Amino acid sequence: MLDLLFGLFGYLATTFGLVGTAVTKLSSPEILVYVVGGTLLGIVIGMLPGLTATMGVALLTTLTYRMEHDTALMILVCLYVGAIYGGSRSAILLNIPGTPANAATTLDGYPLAKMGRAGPAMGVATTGSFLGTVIGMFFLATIAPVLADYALKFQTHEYFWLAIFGILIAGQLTAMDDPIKGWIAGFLGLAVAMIGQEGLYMTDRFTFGYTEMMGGVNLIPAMVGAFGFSEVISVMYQRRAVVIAASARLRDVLPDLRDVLKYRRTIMRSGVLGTMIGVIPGVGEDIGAWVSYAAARRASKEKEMFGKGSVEGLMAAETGNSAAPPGALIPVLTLGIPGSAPAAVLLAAMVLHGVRPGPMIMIEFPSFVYEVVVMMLFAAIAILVLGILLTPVLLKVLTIRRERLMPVVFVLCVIGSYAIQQRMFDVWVMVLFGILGFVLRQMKYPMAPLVLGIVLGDIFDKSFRRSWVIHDGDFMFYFTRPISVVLMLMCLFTLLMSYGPTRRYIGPRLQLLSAGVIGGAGRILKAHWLLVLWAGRAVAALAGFPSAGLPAGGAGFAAGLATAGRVYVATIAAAAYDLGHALVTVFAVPFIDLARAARLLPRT
Amino acid sequence: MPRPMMAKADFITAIVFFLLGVYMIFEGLKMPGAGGFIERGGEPGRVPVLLGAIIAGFAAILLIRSVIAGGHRLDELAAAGTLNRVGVVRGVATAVGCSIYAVGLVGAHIFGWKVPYSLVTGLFVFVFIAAFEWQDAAESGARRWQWLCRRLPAVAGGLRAPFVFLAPRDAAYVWLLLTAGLQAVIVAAAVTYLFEQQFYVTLP
Repeated sequence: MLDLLFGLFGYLATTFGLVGTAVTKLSSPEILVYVVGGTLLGIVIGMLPGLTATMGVALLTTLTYRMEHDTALMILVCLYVGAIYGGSRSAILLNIPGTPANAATTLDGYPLAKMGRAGPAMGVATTGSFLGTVIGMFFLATIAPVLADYALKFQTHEYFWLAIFGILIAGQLTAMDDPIKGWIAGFLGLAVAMIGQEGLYMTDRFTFGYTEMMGGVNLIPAMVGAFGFSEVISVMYQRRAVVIAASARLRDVLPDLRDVLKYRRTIMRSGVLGTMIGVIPGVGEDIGAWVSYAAARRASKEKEMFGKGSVEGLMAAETGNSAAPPGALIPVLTLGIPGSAPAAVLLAAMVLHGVRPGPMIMIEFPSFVYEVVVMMLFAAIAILVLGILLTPVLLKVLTIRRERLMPVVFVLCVIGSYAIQQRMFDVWVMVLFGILGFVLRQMKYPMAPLVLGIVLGDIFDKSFRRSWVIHDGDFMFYFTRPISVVLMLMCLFTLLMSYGPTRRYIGPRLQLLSAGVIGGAGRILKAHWLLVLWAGRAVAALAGFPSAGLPAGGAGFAAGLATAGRVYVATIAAAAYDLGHALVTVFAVPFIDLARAARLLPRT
Repeated sequence: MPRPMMAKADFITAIVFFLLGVYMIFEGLKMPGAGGFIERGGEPGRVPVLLGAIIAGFAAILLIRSVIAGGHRLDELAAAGTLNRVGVVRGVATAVGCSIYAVGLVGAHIFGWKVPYSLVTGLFVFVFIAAFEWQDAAESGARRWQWLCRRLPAVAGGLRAPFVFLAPRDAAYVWLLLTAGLQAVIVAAAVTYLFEQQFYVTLP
């Protein structure tokens, strides 16, 4: 136990050392300009409804591809973090999420603004976003290197299952009303990636005889279309919003430290949840915010305030969505699988700049992970400073008319998708994906799985066929490796959980099981604590310090030890009951149900 | 989108995706098979067939669901009545206008016409703003005019002088066209400069 603890501390110390090295490497006055510029641009993009983080990162990738790789990625990371934060402004003041990530922010942010507390609400959003990014960053620094090491164990067919699992879970979690639409979108993305020459034998697939299509569909033009052009159309389609007048005095928007202390549990929980959601392939900030918000409401002492202007709800949503970007970069760096839609663009940008993210990252580019951590840190500090100081200026952004902004955005969409390879084909792709993206989104097909599919298409195709070739057409290899089997079961579980009747059957039992396991584990910990406590009291009684009703001297010592034993056994027994009860209900009752269904047992 | 309309939309998209899946299966099967230089299991058509089957399968489930929800019976026209009409017009206009600009550039490229990029871009920005702001130009233009008169009466007077013969409403249109033109020139110049001089891109 102790050596484990020491190992952990040693690991953390090394990590901090490496992060420190990266800080010195990246610190220069020039970089400061890029951090401020990137974050500010991000905040502005995030604030403007219709300009999302994904679109911003995609467009800026096309503008920065001639820069040095660390400068370019620094700008992109700052833009990403800034945009997710900036979206909270329009969510609070317009009741329109500036980016999809801030949808949950509107629930409590807008009511707060209507009560005349827009300034403090913006302050809470700033605090939440800063802390969320910091929490996510901590996990990025500590988990990514370990995960990269573990990912080296993955074999070709395991990548296949990982891709399938990513598509299924992303489709499930991002679909607005029906997981099947998310899955169709995801597999459609994989299908799009099939266009062009395949990587093993250079056969043309779905090129219809056009040489330009042999190169396949590039991710960046497709993203610029699906998140840029389609947003232009949908912004013009929607009705105009009304801005709530807000106080821009510094005193009002200054974050309140009392909120941080009061809601420290909510902040920690939302940060961890947001990061975890970010790690899940293709599932990013928006879901991170919703999950954190729902968890905060469930655990809150002031549930009835949620949706009516709860500071806690706002804090949960903003911490949750800001913790997701660092989380989303974990699979990008370690597996080459994007954790969110903007992270997919960042992945493409990294490849464009010659960094190859994936399991080999700690070997090929050992300092890169820590450099990304530092970029996140700089971005977090920048949103805190800029978010507070520039509030009056930034509020002006919300008054920009969409008719003035959208043509400029579209001009950038066209030239941006053209500039990377100077191919007109990419402009076609952009226009097509823009219209397709708009239509699909109107029909409630989520875009994130589609993007994930396009990114994963190549790995999916190659790993699937390679594994068959290696095993000479024998499919048993899917069942012989533990990682493969676990991933396969996870896919099956995802499918089962989205089917109503099975979910209704499994869901409550799963909750029971997890409650039993967590409760049991908690009781076991408590039992040990009580043992130590009572043993301490017994020793104290022997030494002449009676406590908790124990007499001083040997009698007290004996009584103390007896109580320690009794309490320990009783608590362990309760823990065993918890666990046993959960296990029996979960694993035995289905058999009883089956027997009842087969009329072997009488129905009650 | 309202629910019955969504069932109809699902009905149509499900058919489209089902056909797409079936098409992928057929195309995949036609791709070069095992034997020759391709090892067993590595056939290029394998993954398209798999994906086609999955997409067709999901689409079939969606189709059945939409039929249960009554999607195949719904009258399009009745359903269309529930849409945001002005929005649809604006959305379609945006999509078409933007596509004309982008595809126009592409077309010019293919046929080898020498149309300067900056001119086309400026024209696009100008037309976009003018077209979409025309309707509420009178109102917002008048508001801005009043703002300008309050803040800088001398400048406003100077600007007003050449247009004294215009009614305030027309002045708003003139104002709109002027500012739209100004923005168009700035955007076109900035984008052209940035990409041509800074990124060394050969513009279309």
